[in-house]
Amino acid sequence: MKRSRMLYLGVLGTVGALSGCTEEQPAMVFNSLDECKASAITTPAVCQEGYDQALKNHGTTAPRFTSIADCEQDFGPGKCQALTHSGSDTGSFFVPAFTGFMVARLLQNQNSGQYYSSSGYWGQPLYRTRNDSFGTWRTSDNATISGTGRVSVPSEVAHPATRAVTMSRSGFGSVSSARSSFSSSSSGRSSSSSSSGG
Amino acid sequence: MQRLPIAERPGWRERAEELGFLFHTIDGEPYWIDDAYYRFTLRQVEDDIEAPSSELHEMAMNLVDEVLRSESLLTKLRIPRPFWEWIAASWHRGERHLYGRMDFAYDGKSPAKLLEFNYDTPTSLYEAAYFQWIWLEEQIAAGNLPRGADQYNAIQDWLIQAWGDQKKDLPKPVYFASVRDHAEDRGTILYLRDCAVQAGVESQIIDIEDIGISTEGHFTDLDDRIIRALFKLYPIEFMFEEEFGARLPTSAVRLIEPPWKAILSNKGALALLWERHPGHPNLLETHFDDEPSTSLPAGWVRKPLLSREGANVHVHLPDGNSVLEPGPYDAGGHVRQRYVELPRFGDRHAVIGAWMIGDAPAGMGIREDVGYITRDTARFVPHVIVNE
Repeated sequence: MKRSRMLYLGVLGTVGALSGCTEEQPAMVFNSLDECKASAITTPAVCQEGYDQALKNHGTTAPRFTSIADCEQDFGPGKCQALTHSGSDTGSFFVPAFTGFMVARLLQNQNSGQYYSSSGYWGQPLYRTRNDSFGTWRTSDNATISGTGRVSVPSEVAHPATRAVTMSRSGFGSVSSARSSFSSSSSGRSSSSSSSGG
Repeated sequence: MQRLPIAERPGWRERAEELGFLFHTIDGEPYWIDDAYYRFTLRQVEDDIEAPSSELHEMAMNLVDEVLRSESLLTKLRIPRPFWEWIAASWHRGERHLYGRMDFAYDGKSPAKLLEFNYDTPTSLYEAAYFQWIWLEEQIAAGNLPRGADQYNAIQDWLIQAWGDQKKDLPKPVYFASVRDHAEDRGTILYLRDCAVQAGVESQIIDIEDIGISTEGHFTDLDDRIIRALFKLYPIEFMFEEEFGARLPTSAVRLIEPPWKAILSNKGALALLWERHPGHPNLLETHFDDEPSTSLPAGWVRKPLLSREGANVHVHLPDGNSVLEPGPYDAGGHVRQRYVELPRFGDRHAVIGAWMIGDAPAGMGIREDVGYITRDTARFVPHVIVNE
């Protein structure tokens, strides 16, 4: 037989049937580099790289406050520090203390560019707000993480930033719309934009 | 190969809409033909369509590899220089491709002749892969076709397989993008997404116009989530020219189809194939036509390097008459391809679209049009394999 025996279409025309699911993935959480290295659940090399990365990310992704009072309101008295930046950032601002870090395996396709890691793991800083009892943490994006050692976290929390600040839109689609008036008049079809197919 | 009438399925329009096929009729003109079909023998399909498409595909893939190692060939194809490295990297990293359609002139007797590759944004997929299959099942069930009637069509099986094969290499989710307010393109991406979802791929839908750029140069969706994998039903060469185009190489976005498909969606590939395989029974003699102002001899067809839906194609018929399909693609280079007669059935001619899914031949769909040039006004007619 040259054709399929059975065809099934599930979600055609419906929206996002599976897109809302969050998948969990394993990650590791430590209070310190030493604790990581002493642990049997990963290698010292992964600890070191994860820690270094987390520290670097702390400098760029930690929640920022313009006053120490604002910072302490969220993170507690004595739990904030000034972060002074070299380069384009002028002045200083206040960030919560780096109290721990999380390491998770990068997806193969994410391991590139600024996210490149030789071990294939990704490290990010963890913080404790006033509301976090012992054993819970917050990521830079304010996601809650529970436990130390082996943990299970939503995939999108374990990986490099999933969101970014959008500067502009509509940078794609202009050629197609410039050609639409042509397309509809010549083909006799009055679609409001021209087909991109062929 | 014959075109035969058949009773149309009662209520097929409602059935089509129920199945998500919303463009079966476009502006009152039929696009899907329910009451006729093309009949082939198994030998015709296997020897004359399936086997040549497999061979031509392999030739095409070898050509991509050669072009991406040659600055002079990239220049000849007018691939913009800022994208060379990025395109080549996508090839050398082995980024998989999903699909492509080869268009053939075939009359059931002589060797099928390749008219062109549609390897970046091929459409008419849903109707070939799914609705055509349903049509056959229902016509057999209705007793209008014999039990043993078959169809060259495992396209959907292969699509699901292809998504499954590349799933592990793809960031999540995969965004499916098409042009806003275009029902046919939207229908195609919804269908492809459906196949992807069946293979376990996590997906989102976005209009190509809604894609944003972040301060760090990532593409973003309307919720400011970073787009790391983008299936775009949108010509890669349009993207090259557009405002965000220059950001593609540094955005770290994984494109599907991959950037290297730019080599095969370019009509210059047909001239390069002819140079490498002159006289191949399934190729039409084709040359670069760098001086399109010179007159086109009778028996030749001039096509822009980049053109969709037959736009800007100029046909100089062997009898001396000319047909020129106007269009917006007149800038840039051209190729000149030997004219080939398309088989006529009544007032229409037929073109065979042979589908490759990944690197495997997977099925076919037939479109027919009134004029010589198959445009976006063509009609889709189902086919059947019956052995006599």
